[in-house]
Order: sequence, then C-alpha cells, then structure tokens
Amino acid sequence: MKTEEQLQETLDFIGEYAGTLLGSGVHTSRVVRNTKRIGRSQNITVHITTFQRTAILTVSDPDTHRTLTEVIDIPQRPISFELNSNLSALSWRAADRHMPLSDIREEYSRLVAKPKINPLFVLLMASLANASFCRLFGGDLCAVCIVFSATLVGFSLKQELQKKGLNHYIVFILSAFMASLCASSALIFNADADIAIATSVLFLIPGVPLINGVIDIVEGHILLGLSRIINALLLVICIAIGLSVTLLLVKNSLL
Amino acid sequence: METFWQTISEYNSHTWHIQAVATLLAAAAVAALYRRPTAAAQRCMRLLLAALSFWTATAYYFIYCSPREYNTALGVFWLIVGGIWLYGALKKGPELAPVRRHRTIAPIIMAVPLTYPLISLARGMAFPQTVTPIMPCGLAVFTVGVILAFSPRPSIFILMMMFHWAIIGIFKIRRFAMPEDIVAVIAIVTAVFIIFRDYLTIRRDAPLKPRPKHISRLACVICALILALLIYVLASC
Repeated sequence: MKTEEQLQETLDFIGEYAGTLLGSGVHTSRVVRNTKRIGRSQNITVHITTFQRTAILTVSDPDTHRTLTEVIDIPQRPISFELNSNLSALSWRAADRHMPLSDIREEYSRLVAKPKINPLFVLLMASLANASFCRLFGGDLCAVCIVFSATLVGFSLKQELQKKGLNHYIVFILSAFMASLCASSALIFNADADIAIATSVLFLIPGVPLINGVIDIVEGHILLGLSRIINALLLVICIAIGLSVTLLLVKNSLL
Repeated sequence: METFWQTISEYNSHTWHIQAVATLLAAAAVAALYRRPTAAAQRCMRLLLAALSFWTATAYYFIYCSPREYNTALGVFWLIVGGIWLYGALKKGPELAPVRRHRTIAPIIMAVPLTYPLISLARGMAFPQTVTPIMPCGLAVFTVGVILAFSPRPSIFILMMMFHWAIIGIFKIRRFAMPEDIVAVIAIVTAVFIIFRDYLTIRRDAPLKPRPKHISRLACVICALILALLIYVLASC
C-alpha cells in the first residue's frame, strides 16, 4: 500500500522516464510496455496516452484505489539507440529484481548522464556513410570523394545551426542546399554528378521518425504515428526544397 | 581545358593591378593582426576575407569565367563564404588573435598562394596564362591559413567548405592539367587536420565519447587517405 506522496513520487519518475524514451526516438508501444513494467515493479497500474509533444500518465494503487494523473511535456532529445536500449533494460531489471524506486531512479540518472557521442565523430562517420552510399549507388571515385566533402559541409552547417537554435525546417533546407551545391561540383569533372547530388543529402533523411510512425500505425497508435509521419514528410519536403535550389542553379546540365 | 586557361588569361590581363593591391592588403592585414590584434584589425581581416570571397564569386566566376560550364554553382559557393565573413565582421564573431603554437606553420600556409605564379612560370607558362594568388584556390589556402594563425575557436562549417575546395583541387589537377593545386591540397589538408586536432584538444574535458585522441586518429587516417588519393591522381595523369 502506498501513501499519496509515494504514489506522486512514482508518477513523477515514470513521467520523466516515459518523456525521455519518447523524446529520444522510441516507438509508442515500447514506451507503453516499459512504463507499465516499471509500474508493475512498484505494484501500481500505469496507463499512458501519448501525443507528439505531451503525454498523459495515470497511475493507480490497486490496494487503495488511489489514482493520480499528470500531463508531461516530451523533451526534444537527440536520438540515441544506446540510451533507448539501456532504459528498456532498466525496466526489465526493475521488474525482475523488484528494485525499490530510489535504486531505479539512481540507475536512470546514471544512464541519462552517460557521455554523449562527440559531434565531430558523428560528422566524420556520417560523411563516410554518405560517401559509401554514393559508391553503393554506382558513383565513381571522384563522385565518392566529392560526396564525402559535401556531406562534411552540409552536416557541419546542420550542427552549427542547430546549436544556434534555428528552426529545424530552415536548418534542413539550408543543409540540403549546401550539401547538394557542393556535390554539384562533380559536374565539372564529368563524374557521376546525378548520383553525387542525389546521395549528398541522404544524411538528412529522417529515418527514425518514418520507421516509428509506421510501427505506431501498425500497432494501433494511429494519432502519434500519423503525426510522426507528417513531421518526417515535412522534413523530406524541406530536403527537396534545398535540393531544388541547387538543381535550378545547374539546371542546364541536369533537368 | 582550353576555355579554362583562356578565362584565366583574360581574368589576369584585366585585373592584375587589382590582384596586386589585394595581395598587398592581405599582407598588411596579416601584419596588423600579428603586431596588435585590436578589434579594428580583426574587423579589417574579416572584411578583407569577405571582399576577396565576393570578388572571387562575382569578378572571377560570374564575369570572367562565364564561358565555362557550371560557373554559377561555384560562384554561389564563394558568395556564401563571403556572406559568412561579412556576418562575422558585422556581428563581431569569435576573437582573432595570434595562436602561439602555430606561429611557424601558419605563415607558411598563408604564403603558399604566392608560390602559384612561380610554379606556373617554372612549368613554362607565361603571364597572363598563369595561376595567381587572387584566385579561388589561393583564397581557400589563405582562408585556412588565417584560421590556423588567428582563430583558436573556428567555425567547423567554414573549415569544411575549404576542405571541400581541397577535394575539388585534387580532381582539378587531372582535369585541367593544373599542378599548382598540389601545394594547395597539401596545405589545406594539413592545416585543416591541425585545426581539427586543436579543436578536439581544447574540448578534451567535455563528457563526450569516443575520446578526442581516437577521433584525432580517425581524422589523421582520413587526411592520409586524401593525400594518397592525390598521389594516385598524380600517378594517373
């Protein structure tokens, strides 16, 4: 049996936990399963309703039938598969070992405070990945090298503008424009310019929201699934706008 | 290739006096920053880099290189570079002050564009069909040199733009038979690596992974691969 303060404390923690999961790119059914599992470990029932920017969380104590409800804001966090996986594992540990809330919170704080990936490392790896895409699509050596450096330019612009807090649709348009503008220099060398320009913007494709959107719809979370897909499609439109500006500049050779 | 050298020839014969003045101004701006990096000297350097970038975009690409294909995209590239320097001058960007640990290598990098005409003459070209310092490659090397010499916290974006120019330079050597770009590629790749490594060292205490020395090694491998590519391109010429 829990006192009101204990129930409130548990609700606060589960709210923070669910917000972190939703903000860092986890599909809805996984969030629901994990929060319910943590609730079970504390002998309470959890119900969660999720939207794009907020979630409504209700916890109830089956012994006292006391119920508390809270609306939580979903923070914007960088997508981290490592954090998602660790937080899911934490919910299993909490359920299997019946960990007390204080231990779960301590473990959670430790996981959230873990070092993040260095942005410069991400910059280098994303550029190498994009260059590899160019090769996979049949680009020659010149196109591959130009896509590598074009991605360095586009991705570094994205990182700097995001740090300044610019609207992320504008960030996507500008980054797509810069990356494709740099990739268009492949035209000078009679390289596979069409492949270079097309693959130079692949680092911007919002893969996680698209996949999560589809999973959410398939699993019955239609509202959140649709909003995720619409969000992803808006980003794809932004990429298309940035790419179109470059194509208009070099239209005589490509269109 | 004929059009390429013809446009360079026309550009040089019509603008040699402006290029001479711009070279002297650049030398004066560097000297002023080394002597005393006042706010005025910093602003002058930023305005000079903006003016040189706008000049490269408009005079070089939009006017004299208009017979070439795809000059617009390259012109827009330099317009953006100029815009960034102008924004920095108007908004007072990060401080430009001599970086002591680069006091040997930075002047060498900044002086590399001055070797262009000498290389052209050494390989039997005659003025005005020579590569001069006030051209895109020279400006890219000078820009990286200024960042190396005076900017301890540079914008990675502008650095990557110059790095992109080095990659273009590798393929220009083969496409336009332009060995002058060999020194540009080596200078830019070396300078970018040093700046990148310093950038990581300054932030070594940040709670990030992997450790800065591992990222430095990765950057070193990438730069080595680019220099290997340069050798491959030279061998296949």
